[in-house]
This record gives sequence, C-alpha cells and structure tokens, in this order.
Amino acid sequence: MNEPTTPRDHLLARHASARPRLDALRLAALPSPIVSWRRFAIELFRPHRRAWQVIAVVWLSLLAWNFPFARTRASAPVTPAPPEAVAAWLSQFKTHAPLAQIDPRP
Amino acid sequence: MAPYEPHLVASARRHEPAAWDALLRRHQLPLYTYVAELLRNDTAALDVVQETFAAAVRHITGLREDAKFASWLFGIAHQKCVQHWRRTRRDDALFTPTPEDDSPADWPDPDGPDPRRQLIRREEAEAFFSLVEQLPPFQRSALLLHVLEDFSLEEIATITAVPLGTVKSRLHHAKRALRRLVETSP
Repeated sequence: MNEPTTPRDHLLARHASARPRLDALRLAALPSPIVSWRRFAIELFRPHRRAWQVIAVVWLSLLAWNFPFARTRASAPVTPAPPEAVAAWLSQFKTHAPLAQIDPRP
Repeated sequence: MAPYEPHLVASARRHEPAAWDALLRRHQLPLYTYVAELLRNDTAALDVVQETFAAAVRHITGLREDAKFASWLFGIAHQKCVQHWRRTRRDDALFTPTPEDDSPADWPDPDGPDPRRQLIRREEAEAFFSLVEQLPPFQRSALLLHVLEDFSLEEIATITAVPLGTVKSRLHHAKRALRRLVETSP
C-alpha cells in the first residue's frame, strides 16, 4: 500500500503499535463505579421505563378508585344488630359451647 | 454511530466508567502521537499519557461547560510535557519562548496550502516527519496540534497557554523552517 493519505494518517500510523499499551493505560485510569441508591434506581427503571410507567399509572388508578370507598367504610356508623338476632346467636352459642368446652359467659 | 461527545462528557462528569472508556479510547492515539512526537521518547510519552488520563479523571469537574474536551485533554498533556522537559532539564532553552515567537510579522498566509489537507505518500511522509523532528519543540507542538486534531489557532493558544499571535507566529516559523529544511535536505 503506497496510497497518498493525509499527514495526520501517517502520523497516527507511525504510533499505532502503541495501541495495546494505551488500551491498558486507559483501562487502568477508568474511575471505579460508585454504587449509590440513585444509580441503582436509574439502572433498575431506565431499561424498562415504559413498563414501569404503565405499572405506576395502574397503581395510581387503583388507589384513586379505592380511596373514596376506604373513607366511606371508615366513617360509616356501626349499626347494632337487632335484639332478636343477638338472642338467636346466644341460644345457638349456648347449645354448641359445651361441645367445644367454651365458657359462654362473656 | 459513536455517541455525541458532549453527552459522553456529561456522563464522564458523573464518573461513569463507560463514558470515560469511550472518551479516552477516542483520543488516546492522537494524544499519544502528539506527546511522543513532542518528547521523542516512547517511554516518557506513555508516562505522560498515563498522568494525563489520571489528571483528567480527577479534575473533570473543572472542565467548563462550553469547553471542548479534546482541547482540555491536550492542554493537560501539553503541560505534562513541559513539566517533563523541565524535570529532565533537556534542551530547556528550546522551551523558553524566543522574541521571534511573539513577532506578528509574516503570519501564515491564509491562501497558502493547508498541511492538513495535502496528500502525501509514505516515503514522503517519513522524510517530512524526520524534518518535523528537527523543529524546536514549541514550533513542533503548534504544527502537530494543527495537523493532528484540526485544532483552530485559538484552541492551540488555549492548549499551549500562549497568546494567539504567538501561535500564528510559531506556525509560520515552523512552516518556514520546514521549507528551508526541504530545500537543504539531499
């Protein structure tokens, strides 16, 4: 090969044999990876960003959907059971308590 | 396609090894070539490149947002070369700027042939570079930066930490000296 090239190409070709040693120097100079929570989070979420976004939207939707019901249940007054239901439950309990050896007294 | 360099530099600022690997891989051979041609000592050149890499990784936060990474890296290497010359006390006078260096007279002719664009054959190249080796270090430095990395005169001034006029003058004298050497060489 004797094709004309630029002086830059000739200069780089002159020193191309140093490439393996330069590779070694480069690898030795690289900074050590800093493990941080931020980096961990980035590496966890970034590759599948779209999937995580969809999951987040679903979670938020479910939360928003359930929030009013949760408030309703929490604030709903406790209605006492009717007396006849309590009486029926007590008589049934007294019938079965000896079988299970439970003291019927509260 | 290779990543856009500013993106790599932004990642390098966050100390990401992959970004550093890509950046240093991109510049390692031109950088070594510059240092080796300047010092004419392969072992010393490797030492300087190693020190330059280490300094770059350590001081990347000092790189201005608008600065070019290549200029900054070559600037570090240039300073390391000057320190090496001062340490070894070899030809120290050659690294002391002469009054001629700062002379604005006979600055390069913008219409003259551009050495970066000229095509030369391998035999011619060897002869050419043996002549370049005979130039004083400051002139050789300006010429190498001009040819190797296509640095502008302003960038060469930043890298070598001298005024723009000095760079113009050095390039002119380098070209004139080369012409003289070509005429006198057998």
